[in-house]
Amino acid sequence: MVVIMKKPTRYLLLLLFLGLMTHNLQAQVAIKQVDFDENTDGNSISEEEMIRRLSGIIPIGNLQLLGAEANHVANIHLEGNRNYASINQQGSSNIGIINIIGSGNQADLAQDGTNLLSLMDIEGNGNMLDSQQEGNNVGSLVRVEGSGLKINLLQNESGFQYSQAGYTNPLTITTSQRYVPIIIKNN
Amino acid sequence: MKKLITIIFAFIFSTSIAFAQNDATITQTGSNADATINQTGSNEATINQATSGITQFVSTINQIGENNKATTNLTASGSMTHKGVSTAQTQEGDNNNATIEANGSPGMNVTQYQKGDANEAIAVAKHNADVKQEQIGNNNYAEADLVGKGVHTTQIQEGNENSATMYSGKSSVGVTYQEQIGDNNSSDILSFASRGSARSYVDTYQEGDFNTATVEVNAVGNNADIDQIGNMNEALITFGSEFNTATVHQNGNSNTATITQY
Repeated sequence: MVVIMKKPTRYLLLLLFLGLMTHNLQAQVAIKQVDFDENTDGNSISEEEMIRRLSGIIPIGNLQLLGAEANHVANIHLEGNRNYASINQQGSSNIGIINIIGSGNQADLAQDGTNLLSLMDIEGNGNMLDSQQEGNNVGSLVRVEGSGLKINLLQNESGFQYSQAGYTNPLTITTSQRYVPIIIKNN
Repeated sequence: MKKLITIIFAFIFSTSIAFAQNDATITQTGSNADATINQTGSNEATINQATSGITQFVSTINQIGENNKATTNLTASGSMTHKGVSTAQTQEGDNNNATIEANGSPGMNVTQYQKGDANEAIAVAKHNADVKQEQIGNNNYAEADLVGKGVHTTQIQEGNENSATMYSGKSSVGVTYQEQIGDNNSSDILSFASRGSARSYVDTYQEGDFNTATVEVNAVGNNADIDQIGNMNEALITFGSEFNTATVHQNGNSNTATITQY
């Protein structure tokens, strides 16, 4: 799970790695803070580079879905305001993608099964995102940019849940059985 | 006396109408059939072609006027090898109806062109057919009913309140493209057979407002793409089997996109 929230001036990058490498390992928590600048120089890295690196942290089992092994692939791309996108997938090895640019939009994604992957990229103000993944080997990459957002992300089976409403950013992590890289950008 | 004059005028008028309503029917059997009908006015044209063996058949119906009807029936039997098989219907006017039934005729080139109001085009084709339906005007209806492998279908409509439907049963490896420019249009790509539209590609493009695009397929390995530009549009893709890919692109406001896969 990757969550990106943008503020205009200074960046604080909080990178959390939670999860298990295998079923036999104990849960690990790694918190690493990295400064980066949009104008790459010296030891800093750009935002794009960070996103690229984080994209590679998605569990391998889910990354393989991006190849030909995927069962269902759903892709919705919206540009405009007050639009509604909905993806409902059941079964194994599914990919759901929602990309929204605009304001006042609403997106719902529901996946139920195994080997699930969701990619959600939402840019604009006043957007609503509701994602629910039920099953095993679940992964998602979420990038949200804007203000006045209402976000509810749920991964069950001892998974991860993140909720946000309005301009505050409450973040609650309960349990995790997988990698959960998170980027938070603010002042 | 006044009543008598009225009756006489009514008789003369009905007689003139009867003369304007021409009917033409061509029936051909054997090989190398070629038929053409050109009509102007409120006419009705029918071409029946039945062939077997190594053969080719070509037919054309052109109609200009109001309330025309064009019907082409193609029947093929036996083990066939076709060459130059094609049928075309062109109508310019109002309230036209065009129907092509290519039962048992694989590899047909089917073309229907209508320019006018309230037109209706229906094509029934079998495997390896190439179906093209183009309608320019208002309140048009285009329907393609397909059975078999490798059918290519193109439905293009310009105007408002048009409807385009592609229905496939037990067909596979097909390609369908629907394009609608205008408002209040609807497009449907439907296949409910377990083998219907397997490993096929369907693409719908709509430009305007209040349009609806629906893809509903229960077969394996399909790819559906809906593109909508405008406001208050709705896209709906439902896949009821495995290895399907659904994509919706919408540009505008107050649109709705729904993808269901199970």
